[in-house]
Amino acid sequence: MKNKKLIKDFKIISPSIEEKEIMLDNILNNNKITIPFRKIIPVTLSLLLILVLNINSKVIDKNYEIASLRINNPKLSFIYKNKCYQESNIISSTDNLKKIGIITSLENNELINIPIYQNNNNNILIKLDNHYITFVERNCFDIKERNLK
Amino acid sequence: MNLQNKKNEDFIVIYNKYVDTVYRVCYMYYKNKSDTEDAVQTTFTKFLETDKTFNDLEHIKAWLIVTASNICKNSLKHWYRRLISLNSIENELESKENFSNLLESVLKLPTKYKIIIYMYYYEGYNSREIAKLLNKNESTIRTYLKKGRELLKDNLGGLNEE
Repeated sequence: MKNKKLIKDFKIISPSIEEKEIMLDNILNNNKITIPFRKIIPVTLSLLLILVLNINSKVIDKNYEIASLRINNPKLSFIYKNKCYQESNIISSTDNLKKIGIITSLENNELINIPIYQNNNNNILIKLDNHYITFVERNCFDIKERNLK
Repeated sequence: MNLQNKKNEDFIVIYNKYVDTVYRVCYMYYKNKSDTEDAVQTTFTKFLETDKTFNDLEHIKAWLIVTASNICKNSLKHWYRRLISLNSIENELESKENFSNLLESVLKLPTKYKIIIYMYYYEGYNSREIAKLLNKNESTIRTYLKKGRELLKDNLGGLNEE
């Protein structure tokens, strides 16, 4: 139900012809839209944060030797410090895990880092999909290399 | 009407037809010109970019109202919006001089009521249509309308429905 009084009043809220033209020009030349200062601050902060996190993660990675993920159907394997480790069914303690290395792998064109852990009993574990998998040392014979970068 | 391959001339016709509507919807949220202009530009830029197929002009209008409303709601969620700039206060004070008591009272209503009051009394949508557009229950819209009217009555001593 339209209200004539409100319609008349609401009509006051409208841009001038000049303002309409400026907005249209901005829309059609999308790059020319000026970003207000208040919008720049959060964007800049976010970029800085990403940068800091990125630098931070690189520093952390440098502390660990990078391992290569390999596959020997159907079990996962990786080579770490010239030794080969293969997925096992052993369930090891996940208490007091210490990060000792990083596995880097390219999954669907996305570089992923999987940390390697060691527990008090010197078992080697990695965490995949929120589950810890214990790896045992194996002979490097017949371990095929997976897609790596 | 598929506007995916729309020419600038088609777009300009639609822009000129609905820019005031989109501007008013956004003004309901921001109550200042600069933010409203930003949101209007974003809304029409999205319209240019969308792959959506529109049935008719009424469909385009409804899409623009809903998109503008979503853009404004989302931008107001940002933390930096909680900081009130002196400019926005000045703009608001300037604008108050031109507005009638009725419009002032509508603009002072909580956003959920004033948008529905605007769509019902200005755009002429009924409660079922508003419910469909805003993805809410029809009964919720009727409640908001009732509550909005009551708040306006409190401020003005009655809303003259014509």
